[in-house]
Amino acid sequence: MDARNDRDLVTASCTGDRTAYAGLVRRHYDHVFLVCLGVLGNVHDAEDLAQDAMLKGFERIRQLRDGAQFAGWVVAIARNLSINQLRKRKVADKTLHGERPTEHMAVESGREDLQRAVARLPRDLRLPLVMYYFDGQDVKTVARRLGISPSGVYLKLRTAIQRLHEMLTTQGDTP
Amino acid sequence: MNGSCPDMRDGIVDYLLGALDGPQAQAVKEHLDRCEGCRRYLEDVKRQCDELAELGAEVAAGMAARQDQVIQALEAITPAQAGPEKIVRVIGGLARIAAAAVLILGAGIVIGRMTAPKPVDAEQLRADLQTSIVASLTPAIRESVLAGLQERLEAALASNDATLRIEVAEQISRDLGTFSSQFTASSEKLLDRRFAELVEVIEAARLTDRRQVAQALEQIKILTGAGLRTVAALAEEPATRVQN
Repeated sequence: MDARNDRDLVTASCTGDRTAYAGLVRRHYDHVFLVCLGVLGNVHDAEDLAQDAMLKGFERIRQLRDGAQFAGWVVAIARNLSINQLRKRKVADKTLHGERPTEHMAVESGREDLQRAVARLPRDLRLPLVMYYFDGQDVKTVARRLGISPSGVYLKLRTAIQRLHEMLTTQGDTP
Repeated sequence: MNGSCPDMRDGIVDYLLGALDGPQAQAVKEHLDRCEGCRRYLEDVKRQCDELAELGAEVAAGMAARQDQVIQALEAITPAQAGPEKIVRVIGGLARIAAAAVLILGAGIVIGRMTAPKPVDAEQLRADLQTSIVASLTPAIRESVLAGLQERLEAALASNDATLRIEVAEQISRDLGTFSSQFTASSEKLLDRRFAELVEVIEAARLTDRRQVAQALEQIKILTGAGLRTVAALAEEPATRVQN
């Protein structure tokens, strides 16, 4: 991991220094990816969008006035791209299949049901859940990053957990 | 749901998340000690949360490979020039003056539009009036009619004559019919009159406001007209020099 701070890495990246930008990728990619996953609920789409966001970040790096703000800036790019993607997907889903639940996360392990249930959560519940359980962030950090209060995060987490439980229990009851 | 108590489920999940303070957590714990259904619910939810964390770990396991892919893809990308500053340098001061003039005019138009009153929504106005008139008329009329009916009813009840009772009942029925038609007609007339008065008042206010907005726009035009002529002259100047 590059020991330089974000501001120095951004300054070097502005000159086209790819090694410096690679340092920013190593430092911030995980959060960018999890935000995409939280919005989209699909691992493959999240990978694509997180990559797009990081590459756009490099392409537009000279527009960033304060290098210390890189993390929030690149996450905002990722969130906007993901939300646009989600809108396109909803339009396509409606056109092709009528209204239907969100596409489920990639089936990569034996936790398909849980993955599907997470993907079917509303976006405003899924994002804090992913940040808390997938990224191991504490409630205060999630609250700061989402711009809501810690009690608001607890409420969203509780609602998300209860919805998941209902979905999984109902699924289990179905013959 | 596992026989858990519905009013305890929120508290149980909050307890699991560590969102409760000491006394609240203690209350949930005491309930859990004596309620098997809620204990099963807690275990279910806890298992689900553990699975979530494991799922998160699985997803996170691929992070390094994903980062490598992004870093490889960087080779094809070059930072773009910062757009706005370059453009401003190229177009120079002349464009800035023109932009300012356009902004002032634009602001004048926007102010004019924002301050201009909206056209009268006749349907909405009529509906509001009808509601208010009916609301104000109904209690008085109802009171008067009921008083009359009460008198007749008392007279009929006091009488032992069956024919008279029937006559009074018929009279009441006719009265109600007359009342109904009179009420509708009078409220319609009153509604039309009030409506016309209101429309007149609003239209007069609109005309006054329009005149004021027109005056303001004229003033802006006078103030910026000289500036725009200067801008136009400056814009033509380089072309004249080239021709010379």
